[in-house]
Amino acid sequence: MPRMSTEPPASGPAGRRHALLLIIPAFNEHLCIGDVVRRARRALPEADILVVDDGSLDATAREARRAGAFVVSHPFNLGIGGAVQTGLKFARRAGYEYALRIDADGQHDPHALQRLLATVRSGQADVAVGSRFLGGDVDMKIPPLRRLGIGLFAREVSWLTGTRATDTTSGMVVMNRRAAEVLATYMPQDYPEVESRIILHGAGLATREVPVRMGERLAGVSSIGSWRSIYYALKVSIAVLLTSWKQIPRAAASALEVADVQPAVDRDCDHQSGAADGHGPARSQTPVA
Amino acid sequence: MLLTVTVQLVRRRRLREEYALPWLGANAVILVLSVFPLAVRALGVAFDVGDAPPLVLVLGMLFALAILLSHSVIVTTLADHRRDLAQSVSILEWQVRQLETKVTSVMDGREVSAPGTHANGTGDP
Repeated sequence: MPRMSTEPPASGPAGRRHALLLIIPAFNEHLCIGDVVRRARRALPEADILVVDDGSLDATAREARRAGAFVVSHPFNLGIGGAVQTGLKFARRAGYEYALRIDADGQHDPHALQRLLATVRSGQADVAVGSRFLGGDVDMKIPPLRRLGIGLFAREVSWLTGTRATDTTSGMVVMNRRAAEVLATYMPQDYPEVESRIILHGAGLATREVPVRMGERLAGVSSIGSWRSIYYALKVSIAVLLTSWKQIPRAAASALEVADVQPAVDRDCDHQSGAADGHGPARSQTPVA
Repeated sequence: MLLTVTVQLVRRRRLREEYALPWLGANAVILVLSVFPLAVRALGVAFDVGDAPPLVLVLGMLFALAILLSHSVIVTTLADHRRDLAQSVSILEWQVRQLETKVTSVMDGREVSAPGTHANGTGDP
């Protein structure tokens, strides 16, 4: 990767400069992007917020800019993976310490990012993923079919990585610089959340789930239609299998090796004891309705 | 016929030489086989099959499959490059806008110490 500039782009006050970059990939979300950015600024005043406008046809970029975010606009739609990757490349170029990510539809409470950040900062993991299903009380309505798919992916990822995964499609993520570096280079493109878990695992980095609550989206429609979700499930399952065979060079050192924490990442997981032995069919956290 | 079309495409720079080579080769083979039917029979003897024409068909299909696969590889490379370019362009565009804002504020005599951390979106039209 050619580094075109060593000059960091952001202009935050010195001192807490370039510590946190919150990446919000957005595609045609002009109805709620402004609120999402404003809420995130209140919840994380120390973070720079980068909205990656993925070739939106509406006023997403303008609304985000008006709300006070940095806005990077793709000339055309690259898909969610490409958008997140742009954010990670941005973070890499500017030398941010931690890369955070939430969805643009307002499902995520940005306050929960603090807990994810604490997990990564303390060296318990390189990546913290907000999981809807770890906390036990799932108060959002998820269509049964999608729930089935999510459970399937969780099983697949658990099996392939040997750690317990419950919410592999979560778009709420905090990662340290090592993980951001890996994904900036090897980001999967179409439906990146599931595959990136495998890639991070392949790079020898530790992922840990943190229970979060998610609400309904504020406005707009999900990018995954109901009909296409079957195709989506098939495609992702196969892609994940293929991904696990990809050659990913190991990252320099994982947080666990650096921080000398006992490597049992998933042993002391919060709720729902037992059956978290990773190998074998890990118990799905999603009761199939 | 096919041969002249290929050559014409290359001449008009609609087809790159490197991609034209396999087609030229295939065209030459087709030409030879159609001009000298004996060659087909020779091929049949060489591969030790009784009926030679279907053999030509099978070989042709294998050739087409190989070309399709190689094109998929090429498309993947191009798509990756396209994505990298789009990402670079968007980030650089942002940087240009930042610099423009800075330059403007310096020209106006104001100091660059922006009022807030995030007040950087003023450079857009």
